[in-house]
Amino acid sequence: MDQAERLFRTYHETLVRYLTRRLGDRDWAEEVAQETFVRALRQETIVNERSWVFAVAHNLVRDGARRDARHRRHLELLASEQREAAEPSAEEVMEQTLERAQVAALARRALNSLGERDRQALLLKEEGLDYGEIASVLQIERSSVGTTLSRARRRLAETYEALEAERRGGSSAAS
Amino acid sequence: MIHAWLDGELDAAEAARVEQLVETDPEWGAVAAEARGLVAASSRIVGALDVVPDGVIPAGSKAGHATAKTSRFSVRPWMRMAAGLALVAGTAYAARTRFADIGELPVAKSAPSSVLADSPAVAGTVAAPETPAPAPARPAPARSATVGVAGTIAAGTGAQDRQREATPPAPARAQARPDASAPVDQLASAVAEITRSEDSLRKAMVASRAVDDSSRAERLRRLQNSELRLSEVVVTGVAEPPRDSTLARAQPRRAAAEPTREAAANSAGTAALRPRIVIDREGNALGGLFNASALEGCWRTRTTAAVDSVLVNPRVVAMHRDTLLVAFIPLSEGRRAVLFPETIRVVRRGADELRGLANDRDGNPVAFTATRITCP
Repeated sequence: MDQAERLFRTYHETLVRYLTRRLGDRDWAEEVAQETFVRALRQETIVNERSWVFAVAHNLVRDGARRDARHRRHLELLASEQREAAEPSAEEVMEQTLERAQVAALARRALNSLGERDRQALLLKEEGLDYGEIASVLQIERSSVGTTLSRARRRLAETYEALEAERRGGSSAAS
Repeated sequence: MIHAWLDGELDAAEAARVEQLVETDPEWGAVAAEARGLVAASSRIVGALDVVPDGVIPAGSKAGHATAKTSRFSVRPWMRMAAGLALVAGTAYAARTRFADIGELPVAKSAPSSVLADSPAVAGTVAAPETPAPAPARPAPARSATVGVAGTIAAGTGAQDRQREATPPAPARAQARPDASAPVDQLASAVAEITRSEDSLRKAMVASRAVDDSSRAERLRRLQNSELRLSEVVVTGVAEPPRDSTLARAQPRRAAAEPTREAAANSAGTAALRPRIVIDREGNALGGLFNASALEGCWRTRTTAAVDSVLVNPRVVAMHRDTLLVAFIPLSEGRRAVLFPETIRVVRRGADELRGLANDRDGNPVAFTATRITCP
């Protein structure tokens, strides 16, 4: 197994999950992950693999978003078209329960309510990066990672709870 | 500090100090407990994000699909409709040019009836039997007007259209349709949501036009065609005809007793759904396919409400994201059709089982399970 393959096997899953959570789009996440590994192929030496991989992905997303926001929408549409071309399964469609979808929507809203740095720190931590790696990816001081995470977790939980209460209030009012 | 300790980021000496404080000082203990809760909650919330992205637009599994899909270009209703219309227009133009001097326009004779019949905008039962057939070139608007809901979800499958062709419409359908209320309101609500999504899609299309290389232009063309599909209106299938004469006799009595509910149930119908691309207001790409005909058959239901155990042919009213709205049709005569006119949210569907929520007569949510059975 060569270096590139090992990197891919080690980090692909977690990187795609991180990017999917961050971007809210699996296809886009896959695309960024692929580009990340392509760059890893070109890189001669990587000191800290995990933080390097996440940092490159992080920068790709950031630069891509700056460069052309419309491109993302276009890719989303193309991805949809591509998936549509394949024959989907009704079983799979319906496997997604209403409750889970609602929870996911609330989670997305709660996460989006966080500041960019807080959100990234939280998502990176969820992928198992340590404080040093998070600091490296986000280019912040290591000593501020704990504070950032603490603030992010509290705000996320509070916002989610508020949204959940709002939803419950809305649904009980409707019934 | 507490979060760093919980995350294992403190060195051994600091960690030991914090640990001791947490164990001995109630205030530190409370802070640590709260922090543990926040860590767990944030993990759970972030984990919930994994649900949507790969499920909204289903992956390419072929399991359990009854839809006959031969090729992209042979089955799509919008393409058949477009082809049909183009053929009619072309034929008319050619005929007009060729036969102008002899004063005869053989369009009616030469119009490709098979193509037109296959077109989702012409085939099917929505066109009311008592309504004169619309001119071939203007089928879709006539459908919208008949159903009373403008711009609904998507086009029907070719298989379903053919099935509907073979099924003569019940006379009660057209009579009851104008009184549609509850399910149609539900449908209208879903339609409004989809329509808003269409607006977003159009904006996305306009934005995408800036892309100038040829392959992208080709993809864009296909996407724009997808948009056309969204604006097609096919709501078909209304009420099932009575299964036997006994039921046929019971039908008018029930209609007299509950005209609004009966009308609503009759008008619920099937919104046959096709793959579609929708961009919601948050910019997420949505899409999906639901094979409505897969639900047809008899189902034994279990609910906490008083309801007949055997219902037949759940009818898809609408699908929005992963919520399937269906209305059941009762089978037996002496039933209390609690679920009959109600829209049911199916929140989980297996091949032979539906689970979801319905509303009883008082509007209270009632959990239900329906299991497919052999029709009695």
